[in-house]
Amino acid sequence: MNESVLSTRNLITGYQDKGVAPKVVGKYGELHLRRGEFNVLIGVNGVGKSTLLKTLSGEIIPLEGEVTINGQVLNELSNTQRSLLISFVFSNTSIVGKLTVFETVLMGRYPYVNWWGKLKEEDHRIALDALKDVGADHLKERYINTLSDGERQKVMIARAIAQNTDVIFLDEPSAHLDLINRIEIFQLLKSIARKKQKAILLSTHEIEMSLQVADNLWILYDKEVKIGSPSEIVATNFINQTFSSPSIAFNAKSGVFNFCASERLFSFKISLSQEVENYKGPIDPVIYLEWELKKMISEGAYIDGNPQFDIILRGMEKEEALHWEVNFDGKKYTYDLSKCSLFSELMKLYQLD
Amino acid sequence: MNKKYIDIKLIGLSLAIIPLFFIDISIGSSNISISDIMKTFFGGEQEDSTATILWLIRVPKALVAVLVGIALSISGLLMQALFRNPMAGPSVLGINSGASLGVALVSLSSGIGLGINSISYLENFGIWLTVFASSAGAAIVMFIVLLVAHKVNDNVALLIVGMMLGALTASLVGIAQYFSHPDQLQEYILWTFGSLGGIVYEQIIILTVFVVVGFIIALTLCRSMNLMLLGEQYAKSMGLSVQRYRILSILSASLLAGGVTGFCGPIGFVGIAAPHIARVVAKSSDHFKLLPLSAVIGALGMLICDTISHWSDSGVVIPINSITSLIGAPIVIIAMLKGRK
Repeated sequence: MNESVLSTRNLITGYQDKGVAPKVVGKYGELHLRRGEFNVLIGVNGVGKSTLLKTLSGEIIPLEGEVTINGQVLNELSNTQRSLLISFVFSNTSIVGKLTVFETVLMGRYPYVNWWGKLKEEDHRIALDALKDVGADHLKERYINTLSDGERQKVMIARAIAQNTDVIFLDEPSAHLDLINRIEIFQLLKSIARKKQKAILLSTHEIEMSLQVADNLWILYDKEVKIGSPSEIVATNFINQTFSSPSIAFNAKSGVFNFCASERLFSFKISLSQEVENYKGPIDPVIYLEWELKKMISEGAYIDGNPQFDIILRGMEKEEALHWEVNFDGKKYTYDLSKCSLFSELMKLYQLD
Repeated sequence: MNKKYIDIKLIGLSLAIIPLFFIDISIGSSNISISDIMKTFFGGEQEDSTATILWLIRVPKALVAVLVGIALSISGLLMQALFRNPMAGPSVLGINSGASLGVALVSLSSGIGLGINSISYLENFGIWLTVFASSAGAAIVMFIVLLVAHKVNDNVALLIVGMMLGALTASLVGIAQYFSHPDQLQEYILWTFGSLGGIVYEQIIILTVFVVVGFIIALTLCRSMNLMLLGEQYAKSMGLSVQRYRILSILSASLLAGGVTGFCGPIGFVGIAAPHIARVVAKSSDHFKLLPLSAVIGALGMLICDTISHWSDSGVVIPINSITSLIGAPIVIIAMLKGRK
């Protein structure tokens, strides 16, 4: 196991206002962030992710216990001293004024210089290297306001690298990004954790993506935290227990959340016939069937051993077409795959009945 | 490369202060040629009247113009950085209004029954009383704002407090105006026009002390102002102690703007316009570049405005506050439109 950089002891997070009983947000006990590991913090809205991040970064004083980084108690340090240990990336950056990408990354070096802000040759080199690390050195002279959201987040990450701290916290850094940028940011952070031996903790709502890339998941629930590797968390069915809602079901095998309908309509069974192997068309029948199944479940149909509808995907003599064969109430119906929506046809039959 | 480019602009603009200074002191109801000025300065053999006009009227006035330009533009830059709002200026903290209240209480006091017969006071003590009153008013408002800044950790709240204090003092001034004699009213209104004149060398030294102290504090804040460009969250994560930064910003801006308002009355728009022009010139928001540039541009702007104010041969001086607004407002609009590109 890697060396622990940040540790907590008896940690209880929350808020203490004068004259009021303290409001406990979470009891987390002992936590560790280790070098070279990419940790992801997940939990539903309002469960205390931001409070935990702020407590671990020393912005909020814990109700009980203490947070230490490399043996130093965080709350005994000044803001400036903490900025040498922890860097932060937030979900939105509102930059007022004209700053170039390089000037922004150079600000990561401010904790190392005096009030006059005299930057040395070395600081310029470190900032440039950080930009190269995130693959954004070609943007160096661009004004930060002209960047896309994804590019801007990479620059803010480069700035955090330039700050050269052992710990990097990221509070929903991918919240405003499209899918490809989100994946790139996650991969980037993981490689930074590995190559630069940083301890990274990132809060996000991207559970499916986190399961694929995170070293550890920190799942917040009911004022507690469950920490484990993705395989361990999924294999113990923990995700389904924590993120339980009538409208969603986590498929532990595929690592995907599926929709559930609020009402149950009818039961069905769906299968593939043998002759589909002869099919030569552009559709992959296995995948097509899988997605029709998802659609049916999301609409309120459910799978049952004794189904009302028995649906079979069949090939045809022409070898380029497929059709649905539906057995319902002792009768057999066929539908051309490309000319109808299976679910609405079933609904028609179901409502007639 | 970029850095040297900026230094050239800064040096060029700084050097431009010298000719503008001489133009400012040569133009007026009696034009004094540059050669006469040189003789007076370096030769010493000149008519008494020319030397008197130069040493007692024009030179102090031009010096005050330079100091006012530096002070107001830096104080504007500080407020724009603190509130992350390009429209903020020295007036957002209510310093001007505090000074107005102070002056109103002195010049209009008999009207509201404070028992001070202001006319005779002004005859006896003249500008010192006005200076004292406006400085005290500015200082009291500044103290209240600092107190709020210390208690409330929210810049928007601070902005609202500044504006409300402004409204509060304005209404008090209104009441005082309502109950005072026309003569006193005129006295007060003349003050609100602003004036660079009538300030003696002892007062210039005091004003210089205010400006130097405020400037030095502002210099130490360049790094913090840059960090604030990324927002308070990021600034904190990079080691900015927000509370100390806010207090020092307000202190510096108050010393600069309060000192100026105390001696010269309210002078608008320099504090907003000069930092805007500096941003366009620098093509950057780096405060290490903006601070000296704003100061130089503010000084140049005030020299130009002062020159225009006494351009006329007839000896008429247009109020400086009107000129700065007349020139400043279009400049802010142009700078905003240019800056958006």
